[in-house]
Amino acid sequence: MIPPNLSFLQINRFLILLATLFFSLVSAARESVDEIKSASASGFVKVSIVRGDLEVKGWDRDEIQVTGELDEQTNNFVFRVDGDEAFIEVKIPDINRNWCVGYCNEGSDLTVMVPRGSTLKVSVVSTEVKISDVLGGLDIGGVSGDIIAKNASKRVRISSVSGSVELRNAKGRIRLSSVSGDVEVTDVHGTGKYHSVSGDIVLDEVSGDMDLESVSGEIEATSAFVSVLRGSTVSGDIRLEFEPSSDVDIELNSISGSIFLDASDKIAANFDLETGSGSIRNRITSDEPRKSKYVRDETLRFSTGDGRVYLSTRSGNITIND
Amino acid sequence: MSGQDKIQDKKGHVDGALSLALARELRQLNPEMEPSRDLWPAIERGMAQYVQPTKKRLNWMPYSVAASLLIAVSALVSNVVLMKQQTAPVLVQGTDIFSLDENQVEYLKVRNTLKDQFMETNRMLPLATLDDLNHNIQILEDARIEIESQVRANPQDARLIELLMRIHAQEIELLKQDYSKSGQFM
Repeated sequence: MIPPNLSFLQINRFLILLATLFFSLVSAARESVDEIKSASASGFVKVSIVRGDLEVKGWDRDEIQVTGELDEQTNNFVFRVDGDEAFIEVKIPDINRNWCVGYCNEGSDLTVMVPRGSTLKVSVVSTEVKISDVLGGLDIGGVSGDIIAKNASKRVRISSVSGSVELRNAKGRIRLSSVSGDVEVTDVHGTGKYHSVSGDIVLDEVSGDMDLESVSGEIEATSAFVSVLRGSTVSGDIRLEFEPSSDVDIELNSISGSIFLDASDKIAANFDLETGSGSIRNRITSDEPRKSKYVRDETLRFSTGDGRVYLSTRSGNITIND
Repeated sequence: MSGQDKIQDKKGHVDGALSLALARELRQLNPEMEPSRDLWPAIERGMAQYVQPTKKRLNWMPYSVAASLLIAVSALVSNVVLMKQQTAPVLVQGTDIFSLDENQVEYLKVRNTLKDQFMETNRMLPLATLDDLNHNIQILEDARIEIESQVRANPQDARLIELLMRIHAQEIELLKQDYSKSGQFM
């Protein structure tokens, strides 16, 4: 294919030309889309994108707009509105072994504008997802891309396998989970369930009833206003900096992780602390932990009010502070 | 002879005379006498319209259909119950180590079957995605094994059992997914 008797420089130029031509063809293969349709102000919008980038934003118009570029392997692009329901889907072939051979920017890159009151359901595989200002509820599921949602309300459910999950400024019934990705929550209020297996759970400026769970990841909450909180890990530490409510009810368990509790105000509660082989540091009162005579464990019980604080770890340390 | 006997005797004589008179009349009749009108069409019509009275028999068909349905429904219900027991092993709080092991055996049967199906269903995914999924399945498995060992060490810890059940649910949920068809895993 390469003509004979060419110098190294000429061969180099020839190859660069060939590569440019290839990338131009690949880029040209991505089809642009710009469509808009009327939709219900509080309808159900379902978006399914296998790979690429997806941004969904709420706006004040009763219309849905899809702009951007479609996956280069798109078989079929679906944008349909049936009454209160809208469907947006980029279909690519089922057999996708060659998704990312060579040039890897061939996924979809779409921005979807939806009415602010919509309920949004998004399913993705390897797609980075950003969602903002959709207030009718979210149900987002993915495998490896990160998912970031801002300004949400009502029922918010986000799950990922290895991607991180981030939620900012939300209220309602929140449920976030990931297997190996981190779960990050900022300025979220309501009933929250935050679960991970190996990823960390990081909360900041949260309030309401909370259920936190990680197997090997760490749990860290700062500026939390806590009334009811349940937390457990197997090997991860739990660190909680919070403002206690008058009827605080906290239960934190770990197997080998340590527990740190730091309240910004006086905690009015019955304290029940126990550790198997770790130690207890009490900086709230002068009560000293009781050490078992025959087995290596420490317990500490004292009362400062009607609430309840139960902290337990098998081999970690416990520190309480206010 | 009493009066009554006389009456009887007189009545007998009258009957005898009548019988004789009738016999005489009959003898005088034509033996090949034809009826005044043709009666055969009426007879044939009567024979055609005559319905043979049948003996009322008990009809078993509805009862047999009902019985078959009952057996089929019972079989279905028992199968569903058995399947549920197989696919959803449930740990009871406060369970002892022995029952935990039993549950784990049942759970692993279901989980391993689902894992085989998952690998088959999703085999055409890009290798990077498949590796990622496998890595996370392994993370879940490691977590489950770690929690199982903790439950064995602390069989009365309800929170640990809850954690184990949640890992089971998460593992099963992941293994049931078909990511190979875009939009079909929701």
